[in-house]
Amino acid sequence: MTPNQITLGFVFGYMAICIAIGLWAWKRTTNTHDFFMASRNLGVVITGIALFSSIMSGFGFVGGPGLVYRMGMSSFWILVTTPIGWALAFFLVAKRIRILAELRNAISLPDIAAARYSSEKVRGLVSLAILCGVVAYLATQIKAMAFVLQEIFARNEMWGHESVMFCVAISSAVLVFYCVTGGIIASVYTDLFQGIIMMLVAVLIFFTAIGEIDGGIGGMTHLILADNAESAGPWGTLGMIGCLSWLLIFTLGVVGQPHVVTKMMMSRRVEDARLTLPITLGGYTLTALLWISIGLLMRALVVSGDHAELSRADDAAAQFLQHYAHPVLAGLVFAGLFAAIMSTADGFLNIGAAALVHDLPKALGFSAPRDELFWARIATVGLALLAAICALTSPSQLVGQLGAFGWGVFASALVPVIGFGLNWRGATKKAASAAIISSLLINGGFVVYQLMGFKIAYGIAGGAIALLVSTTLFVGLSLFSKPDPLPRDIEEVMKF
Amino acid sequence: MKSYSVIFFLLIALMGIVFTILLQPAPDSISGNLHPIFPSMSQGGDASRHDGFLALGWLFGALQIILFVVCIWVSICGEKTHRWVVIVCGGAYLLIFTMLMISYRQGVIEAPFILGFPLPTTLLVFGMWPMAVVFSILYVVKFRSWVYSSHDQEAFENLKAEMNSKEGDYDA
Repeated sequence: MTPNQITLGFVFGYMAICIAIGLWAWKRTTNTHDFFMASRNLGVVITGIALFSSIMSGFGFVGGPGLVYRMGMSSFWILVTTPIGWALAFFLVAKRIRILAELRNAISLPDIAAARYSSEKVRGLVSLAILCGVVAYLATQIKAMAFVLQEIFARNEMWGHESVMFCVAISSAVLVFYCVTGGIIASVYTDLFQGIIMMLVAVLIFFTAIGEIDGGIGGMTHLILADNAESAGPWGTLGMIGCLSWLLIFTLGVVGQPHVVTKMMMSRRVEDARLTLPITLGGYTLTALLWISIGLLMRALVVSGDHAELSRADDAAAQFLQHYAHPVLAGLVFAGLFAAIMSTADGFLNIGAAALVHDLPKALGFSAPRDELFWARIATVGLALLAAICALTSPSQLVGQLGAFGWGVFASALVPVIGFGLNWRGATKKAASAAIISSLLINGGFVVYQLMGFKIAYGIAGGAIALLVSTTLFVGLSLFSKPDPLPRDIEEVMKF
Repeated sequence: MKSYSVIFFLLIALMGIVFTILLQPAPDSISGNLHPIFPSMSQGGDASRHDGFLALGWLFGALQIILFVVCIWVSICGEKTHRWVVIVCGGAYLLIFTMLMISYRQGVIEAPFILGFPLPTTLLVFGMWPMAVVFSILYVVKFRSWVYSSHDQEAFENLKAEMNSKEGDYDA
């Protein structure tokens, strides 16, 4: 067997397992509660792994090493700050969101927002923010899947070069299949499987990478520093202000990621949050090893002249696998790549479908459709199609912007409304609406601004500015207005 | 209420810092330039690109760290004993960040290599990164007194029983 055939075997094997999990979960999905909430019956380990694998997306496995290759140490700020974000998310959200989910029989994040603020308008705005972010983010994930598959096919004589559309179709079909059949149950169990693969390959890759250069990480850093000292410094090439804007958006931002906090509603017991956090943190930290080691190694090898320059920074992982990894390990990593991308995309499909079928009709004054489960499945297919069309028709520059837009919208809309709103009795529905509207406008404005060829000075992340503005509006408006009356159960929950 | 006034103040201060920075003309290579030999990667120029920004940068980072610690503080409910531990951990986080800034000011090239990185980067990787573990340990160890006490659990069970008796009234 050639190395490429081994890779292809691993990827198809991985896809087959995802399909099998989808079929297994189908039998366990009989209503919308199963489809969206896994019947609130997830154990500690599965919730913990599903949480970290939702965040460590294709960006982490492809874009992450590419960022280290391109910018030196700058992207370490994402890895260093996100774990603090995990701790914040658990402190601010995990307990109350789980309690409210049970008290109000909630099946989505907009359900929680509507209950907290006693407002259908807030439900509608949260759903809108989720849908905008989901389509944008999903488009980037689908395009990433297609690129990975195209790369694998291109190296295989049997398949040769396949079109992006063909690769989008194959990879999306597997994703949509298990999301439609098994809903969130399939999603979290594939996340478990995907998370284990991701941890395994990250550790193996780390040790492979540090063995490539004398002195390991220290040797790589010396080579990078000799080429340009700032690249090896704590700010990398992006610079101090840009990195510090990442500190904000990637620490607080985790609290607002709906595919993450929605999973906190699914645990079996409120007190499970206690042990879920260390599992999530451990998994995230292990997978971060791949990001660091491949990126540093490829930059060090290129600047020292031991490897030809990459045509694109995002090729760092693929080039490493082709030239330095054992074929079996490369096959595992390619499967891990799919795992990373799919584990994020499946969560988006699920929360997007809930917003479309369950929440938007309610916000607009209609009741949810009678056969909600059927329509949830249709909505899942529809969302995937929409995101695939976005991915195929958008210029590559826009796809990159969409990913940043997605994270930025979630962070700036939901950090104040959910993160602060669940802890502060004084938070008002007007403030919540203002925060979400400002978030959509500012993040959308930055996408247009950057598409017009402008750059935000100092490398500041647009999402960080949006997060600051929306949160300030939210806190300021709530501070200077009379608190809304709350239903008794919400009042009680705010005291816990 | 007071905690959210502090948060409001911190947010206003952070916005002020960002806009102060944005109003100044950006120095060359402040956010990197194309590498002269390898255009697929960027270079950061030299440390002088941050001249005049170190104090603002420190303030930008320090206020964020204080904001994160206040957020953890406001989330703590129930029995509030030993909450000072959060302040101590936040102080340690701030101290490591300050040491990173000081060591960066003294120069990356001149800095000793510790654990595979020059000192300022070592402080980022082996100083700031583990702080997440510290806060997580706090979450795990103090869960029953800060996050979800047995009293909270009992109150939740009672509330659930009450809601179940009025089922339908509160469904989302």
